[in-house]
Amino acid sequence: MVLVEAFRNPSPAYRTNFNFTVDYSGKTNAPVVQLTMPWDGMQVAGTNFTLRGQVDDPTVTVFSTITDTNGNTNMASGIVERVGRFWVEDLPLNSGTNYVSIIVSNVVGNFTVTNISIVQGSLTLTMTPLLDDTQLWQPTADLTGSISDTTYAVWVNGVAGVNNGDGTWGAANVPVTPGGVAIFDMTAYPPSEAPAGSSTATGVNPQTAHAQNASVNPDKPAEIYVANNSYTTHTVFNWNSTTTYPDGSGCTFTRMYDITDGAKWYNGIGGSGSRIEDYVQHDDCDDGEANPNQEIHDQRTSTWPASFWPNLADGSCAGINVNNLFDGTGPITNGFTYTVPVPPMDYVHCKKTVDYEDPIAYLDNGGGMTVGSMPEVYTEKRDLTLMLRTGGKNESQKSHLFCLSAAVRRLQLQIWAGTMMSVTDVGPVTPTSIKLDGQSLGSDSNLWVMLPDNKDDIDITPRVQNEDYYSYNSVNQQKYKLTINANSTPLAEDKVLPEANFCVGQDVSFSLSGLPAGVTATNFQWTLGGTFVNETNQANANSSVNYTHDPVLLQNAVITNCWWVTGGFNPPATYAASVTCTLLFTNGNAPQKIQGYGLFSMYRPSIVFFTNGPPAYATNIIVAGTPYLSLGDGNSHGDMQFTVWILSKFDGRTDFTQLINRYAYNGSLLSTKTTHGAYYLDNFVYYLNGVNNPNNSYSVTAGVINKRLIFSDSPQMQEYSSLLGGSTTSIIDTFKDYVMFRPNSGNPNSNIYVVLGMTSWGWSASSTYSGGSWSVPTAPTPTSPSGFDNSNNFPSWPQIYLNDN
Amino acid sequence: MPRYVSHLFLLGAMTFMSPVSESQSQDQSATTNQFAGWIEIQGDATNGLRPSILIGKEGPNWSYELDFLSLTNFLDTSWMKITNRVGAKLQCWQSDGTEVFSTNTEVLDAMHLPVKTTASEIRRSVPHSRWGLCWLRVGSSRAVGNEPVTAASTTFNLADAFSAPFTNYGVLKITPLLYRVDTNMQAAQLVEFPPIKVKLLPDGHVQTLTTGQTNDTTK
Repeated sequence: MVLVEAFRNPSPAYRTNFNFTVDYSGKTNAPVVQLTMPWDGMQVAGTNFTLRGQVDDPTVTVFSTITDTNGNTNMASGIVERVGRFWVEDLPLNSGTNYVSIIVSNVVGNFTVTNISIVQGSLTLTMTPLLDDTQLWQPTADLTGSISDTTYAVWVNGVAGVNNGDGTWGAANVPVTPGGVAIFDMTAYPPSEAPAGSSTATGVNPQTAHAQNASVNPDKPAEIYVANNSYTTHTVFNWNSTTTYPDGSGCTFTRMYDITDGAKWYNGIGGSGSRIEDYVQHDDCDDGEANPNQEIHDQRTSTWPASFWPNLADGSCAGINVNNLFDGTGPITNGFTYTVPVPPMDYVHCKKTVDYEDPIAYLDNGGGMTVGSMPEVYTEKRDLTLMLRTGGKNESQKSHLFCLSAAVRRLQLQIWAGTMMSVTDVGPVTPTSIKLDGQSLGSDSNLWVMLPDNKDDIDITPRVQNEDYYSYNSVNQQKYKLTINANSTPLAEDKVLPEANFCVGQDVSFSLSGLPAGVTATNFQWTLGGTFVNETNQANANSSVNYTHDPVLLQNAVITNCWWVTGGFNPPATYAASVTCTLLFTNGNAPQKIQGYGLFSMYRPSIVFFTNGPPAYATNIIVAGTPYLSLGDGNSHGDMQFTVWILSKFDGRTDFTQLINRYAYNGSLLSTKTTHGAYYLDNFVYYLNGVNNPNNSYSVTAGVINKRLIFSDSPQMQEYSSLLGGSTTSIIDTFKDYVMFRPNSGNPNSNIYVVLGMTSWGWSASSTYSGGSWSVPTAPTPTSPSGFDNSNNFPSWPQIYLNDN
Repeated sequence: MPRYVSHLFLLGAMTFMSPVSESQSQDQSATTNQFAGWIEIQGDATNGLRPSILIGKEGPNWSYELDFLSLTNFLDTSWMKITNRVGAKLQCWQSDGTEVFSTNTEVLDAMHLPVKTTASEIRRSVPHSRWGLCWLRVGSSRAVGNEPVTAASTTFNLADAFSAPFTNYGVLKITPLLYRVDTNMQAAQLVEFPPIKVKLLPDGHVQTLTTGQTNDTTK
């Protein structure tokens, strides 16, 4: 659906809905990709870089991999702006040659792969951030930075800088790229390759064989600018008089002025002005005038460079004197000087027609009586349009909270004879009568709105209905960058910051920061990627602590105790955290639904190796004189054995949790052991260590692959030879084993064990007492595990199975 | 090589108290429950095994894991863990040099284990189903590629042994213990590995102080 909304200020809105169906089925072409920075073979300084380019379809997705000489591969998703410019930020750069692949795919799966190789340069080449980032909106900026070699020449955006020889460089009047992001491409040249000349003035640094490059791409801040200032006065002045003398003679005099003064000024493109004057005079009075009848037509234009008024700061109000009237045949000089209005003018909205008529009746010096009138129509229009640039990258889903404010004062104009005689301030306009961008201010003169990034045409000129004269001189904006924090680490919206890497099982909390003070936030709703648990329950003291997902808890302002069970091993999974909430304002502004967004990654250790032990088998053994039906002899022969190796980037703890499903008996009248078809916990939560204390399992050291969990189990049942009934001991066991892992990151005691994988195995056997001894067990081959799956379901048990001894 | 690996060196005249000033320790006492990482400290090898401890502070409590790296080919039934969870002889001193005596029965028992015994006697108190877990399985079948095998012996929480927390810092001496079992899996000989002595700092960091005599007679 396309929404078309047409409006004028101040105006009601006109809205029309059209329904369109976008059909991509006929889309067969792969995206056309042009890489802007870096390019193939380029030497890039630093330990990371941002890749950027242009694509012909802004709906594509961008994905990049970079592999260093050691085969280490990193991957990152890119962001695509509405204009097709794309970015992949903070790609790691290692020594030697780095191989970069950029995969751009469209909605129907067509894709384009671009492969380049870049080399990490030997230099340190950085740019110092501008102290006043509003300079990023200026056409040029003066930059400084650091460079590790005093002999290299530095260029930025096609402008030659100066290597100061002390580890710093400077460059003046560097062109700033338009849009919400400023791009500064820096190139350093060895002495033998320094380009001639001072500047290419193309915005592109020349490339040479050994040039080293770096790029800095800061977001521009939000800013108010003057988009248009217009000033027009129009005076029609007719002076008609008739003089009657005592002798009865008389004469008539008519004079007509039609003068239009206009001026316009646009931000960044200079200004213009004009004056159109028609002067017609007819005089049949014999008063000795040289030109009793004359017509003068004058038209003039003046232009002011932007430097006259580069911003909203006050500047000179001096006029430009012009003296080039034309009478239709050529310029004349009559000493008439006119002052053309130039910026800056007051921020005055003036739209008024004044009808003025001045009856004239007086006795002139000749004794005659003059009777006449001077009807006048005076129109003055002034308008200064203020626009808001919101800055940042032009992503489709990105918006921020703004507080706009303005103060407007009501004016009273007094005009006489085509001239504004005075402007009187008659007091403030009630804030709620003022509209910015079509919305009324609150009682405190503030307007809270969500606005998308990199919009540069948001009209925030104060408008007041039913007022003809008013001034506005305090229009302001404040951009609030809402930030989601995960474990107090701010999350970026377009990339996973190094501090935002978490591990499954780690307690992760979320909060939203950047909210303005004094504003009430309510109706929170968090959305978190991946699979996580945030609630526990336990049916009884012997049952498992079950971890569940409670969506209601995601409606809290602060989210605590979230533990992920899904993640990625290589690479870690990237998940999004987003939150919406409603802001309530006491100034009468409509509630605003705001959204925060951020990315984090979730690492999940992996079971990297699995080996089975020797084949298990059932046997009869004697322990301290007592016969047992057993799996294995307890001397590492015939018991169930397997080994797993765990690799983790996080320190942690690990162990098996084993569940048992048993049905066994040893003489029908003596003992039956059963778990009633259910899986019970096999004695201990942490099987290998034989403990229930979560801090007593085995340690996992980050990055070390030698952590083995060596499993061994020799389940058994004591054999009874009973004269009272039955002399058969039988056992049927199935087991589930879970590899549990708890990271030590953060506070280990608030982390939980999660599952890295599960396997199952079983055995069954039967032995009968006969002739004074137990028969060789009748036993099928035990079911050995073939490996661990990648499941993450928690082990759950209703009871604990306890061994007899 | 893992992080925080600190090979032990004989530090000669270095005392237990000297490396860290009192003021530094005081600053570090205001620590959080953040985990500082496992610190692996390798001891001197003997009898074809190199002991190492992985020690760390989780929340307020210190714990360690005792591992053994196989330097030669062993059968899976060559070594038996002591069934005492402490896995070693433990001695502890406070920062002022006062020895902290544990009343923990496992710590006390570990000081007086029989030097010569049998495998059956060692695991007498262990449920039969867990007998297999008594062996320190450092056999080559547990290896990945050509890497030597490391097997964990035990994990132990120091808070279970020493009731007084280390408000400043503490010095811990760990003397790893294992039973060497003969080839018929009967006779067992207690082997005492060279001790590992460390200083435990309040912020979760560990300083290696000294170790016992290097006495690897199998290499």
